Amino acid sequence: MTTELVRREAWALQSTTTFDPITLAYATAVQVMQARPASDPTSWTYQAAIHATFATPPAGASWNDCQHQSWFFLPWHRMYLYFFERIVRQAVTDAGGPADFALPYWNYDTPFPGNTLPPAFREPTLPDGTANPLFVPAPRRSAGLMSGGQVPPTATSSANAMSLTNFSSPPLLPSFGGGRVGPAHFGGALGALESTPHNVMHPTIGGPPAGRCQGGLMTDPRCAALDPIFWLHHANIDRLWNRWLALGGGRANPSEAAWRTQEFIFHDETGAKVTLAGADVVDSAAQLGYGYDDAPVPAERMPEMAPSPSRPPELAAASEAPLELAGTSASVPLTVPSSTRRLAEAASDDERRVLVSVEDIQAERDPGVAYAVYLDLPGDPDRERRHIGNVSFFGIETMNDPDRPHDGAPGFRHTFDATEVVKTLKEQHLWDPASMAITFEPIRVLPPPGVELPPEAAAEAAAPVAPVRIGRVSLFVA
Amino acid sequence: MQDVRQRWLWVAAALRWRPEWRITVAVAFAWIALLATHEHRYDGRVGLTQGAAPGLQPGSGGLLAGLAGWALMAVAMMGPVTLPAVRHVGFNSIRRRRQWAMTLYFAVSMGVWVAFGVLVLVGERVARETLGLDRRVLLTLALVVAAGWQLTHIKRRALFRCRRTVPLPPVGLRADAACARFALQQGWRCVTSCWALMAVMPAVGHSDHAGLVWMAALTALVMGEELTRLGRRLLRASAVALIAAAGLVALGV
Repeated sequence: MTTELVRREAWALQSTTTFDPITLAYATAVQVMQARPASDPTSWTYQAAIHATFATPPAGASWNDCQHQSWFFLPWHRMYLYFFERIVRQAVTDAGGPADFALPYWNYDTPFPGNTLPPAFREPTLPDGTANPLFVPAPRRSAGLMSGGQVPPTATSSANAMSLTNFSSPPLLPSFGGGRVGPAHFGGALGALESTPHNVMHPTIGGPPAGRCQGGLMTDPRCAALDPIFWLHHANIDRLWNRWLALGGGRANPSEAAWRTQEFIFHDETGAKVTLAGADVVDSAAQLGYGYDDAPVPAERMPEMAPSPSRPPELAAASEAPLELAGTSASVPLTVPSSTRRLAEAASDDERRVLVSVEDIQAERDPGVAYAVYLDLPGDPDRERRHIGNVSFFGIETMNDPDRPHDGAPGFRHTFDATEVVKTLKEQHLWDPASMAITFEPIRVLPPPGVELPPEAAAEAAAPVAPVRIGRVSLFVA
Repeated sequence: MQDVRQRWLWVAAALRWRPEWRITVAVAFAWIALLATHEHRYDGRVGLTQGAAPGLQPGSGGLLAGLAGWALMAVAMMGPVTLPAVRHVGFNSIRRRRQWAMTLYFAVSMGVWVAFGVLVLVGERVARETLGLDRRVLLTLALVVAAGWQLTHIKRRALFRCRRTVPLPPVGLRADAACARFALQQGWRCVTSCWALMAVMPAVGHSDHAGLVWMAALTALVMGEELTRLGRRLLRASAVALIAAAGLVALGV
C-alpha cells in the first residue's frame, strides 16, 4: 500500500477560511453519523462508546475497549482512528465530498494562534446557517478555550516524550509508549507521550466534568470521543508517534510478540467487525496508506537520554506526608535520609538517571485541571527550567469504579525523568537535595495576546476544583 | 568457569528486579514442607480421602498444632498473591531498610491470616465436636458458602482493591507504621476476598493427597483472580465449579 491519504493540520487548512473543504466535509460526516441510531456500529454514539461509555453495552459490542496506561495505548488508538476515518470518509464520499478525505490533526504545540482551538470548532453555525456539529459549547468544552484562549506550552510540548529512546520499559522507568502490561482499560503504566501532551490536553480542552457527559466531554474517557475535537487530538498524537520513530537514535517499536500479536476489534465503514494486531499498524504509510503533511524531522537530532538502566531505580528521597491539590499551587519538601544522601548528591553523575515519581494518586474523578510539576530549589531564578513534567488525572474515575470490567487499580503514579534538570542545576552549583521540594501548579488556559478572557472563562478558572490526593512524591536514582 | 560466572551475573541482574525473591523462596519452602509431611494416600475422590487423616490437619490435635499447620498453609496459599505488594514495598523503600520493610510487610499480612485462622479452627472444632457435623457435611457447606461468596459485591470490591497501595515515608517509625498499615489493609482485603475459599481447607484437611490437590486448585484460583487479567471474570465460573464440587462431595463421589 502507498501513502494516498494525507492528514493535514487543522490551522493550516483553516488559514484562509473557517470552513475549508476538508473541515466542512468532516462536519457534514459528523452530522450524518450523529443521526444514525446508537445500535449502528458506524454511528457517532457507537464509535464513541468503543472508547468508553456510561451506557450498558449491547450483547457482542466491543465497547469500553480503549487502552490507556500501557504499551497498547498508541497502537490501539491508531487502529481506532484508522477505522473511524474510513467510516467518516464513506459518509463524506456518500455526500459528494472528496474521495481522498483524511482526518485533520491539531498541532497545538505551536505559537499563537496554533495553540488555540481551530476556528471551525468555535463557530456555532456552518456556512449554510445550520448548526455546526463541531461546535461544543461550555460546559461540555472549556469556556476559556471556546473563547479563544491559548493552551500553555507546558501542556502541549512533547519534547520530554520525544527525548526518550525506549518505547516501553520495566516498572518504575519512564518510556515513550507505556509499560509492558497486558491489555487494560487503564493499566497503570503510563507512557511519556500519553502523559504529555495527551493526558494534559484532555482536561485542558474539556474543563470540569459533570454528571454523565453533562460537563467537559474530553475530561472523561466515557464521553471524550463524543467531542469532534477528540479525533484531531488523537491524530496529532498518532503523528507524534511517527515523528518519534523518524528521530532514530535507537527509537523503535516493540519487537515482543506480546505487543505485535495482540489483536483488537473494531468496525469498518460497512459496520462489519474487523481485527488488527500491533504488527499491522507499525508503519502508517505502508500498512494503512496514510501520512501527515508535517515537515520532515530535522537532521539535527535532539539530545537523547541514556538508555534504560539495567538496575532498578533506587529510592533516594521522598515526601513524609500526603499532599492535596485543589486548583492552587502546592508544594511538598522531600526528605533525604542520611543513608541515601550520597546517592542523592551524586544523582545524574556517571549517566545515572534521576526520576521523580508522583505516587498513590487518588481522586473521586478527574477535576478537569492538570498540574505542571517543578523541581524547586532555593536560589534558582529560572522557574521554567525546572519544569519536569505534568500530572493529569484522565481516567481516574474509571479506575475507581469497582463495578466496571477493567483491569486497572486506583492509586496510580506518574514518573518523570528529571536528569537534565538536575544536571543543569549541578552545573550552576544549585543542586542541594536537602532543600529540594516539588511544586505543583495548575495548568490554565491563557488569554489571547492583548485580550482578556470573557467573564464565563474567568469564572471557570476561578471555580472550586475537586481535590486530588498525592500520597507521596519521591526521587529515585537509576 | 567463565560460563558459570556469566550465568551467575545474569541471575544476579534478574534478581535485582525481584527484590522479593527471599519471600518467594519462603513461600516455596512452605509448599515443600507441606509436600514433605503429607500422607501418601489418595483414593481418587473429589472431596475427602477415605479414612484420612490427622497430622497437620487442622481440627486434629491441639489448637496450637492446628494453627501451626494453618499458618504454613496460609503462607503457601496466600503468599504468592502478596508478592506484588512485597515487591512494591521493596522498590519504594531505601536500600538500608528494604529487606526489613519487605519482611515486616509479609509478616503482618500473614499475621492477619493467622488471626483469621484462629476463628476458622475454633469454628470448625465447634461444628464437628459440638454440633456433631461430619467432615463431608462440613466440606459441602464450606463449598456452598465459598460459591455464594464468589458472587457477592463485597468480594468484587475486595478483589478490585488488590493493587491499592499506601504511601510509604522514607525512614523512621513512620515508615514502619506505614508499612504495617499497608500490610494490615491488604491483609484484611485479602481475607475479605478469600476467606470463604480458605475456610474450605479445615474441612478438607491438607495432610493428604486430596488436601494438597484442593490447596493447589484453590491457590491457582486465588492467583488467577488476583494476579491475572482474568481477575473478576473468574468469579462466576469458579462459583459454578465450587457448587459442582459441593454436589460431588455431598454425593460421596
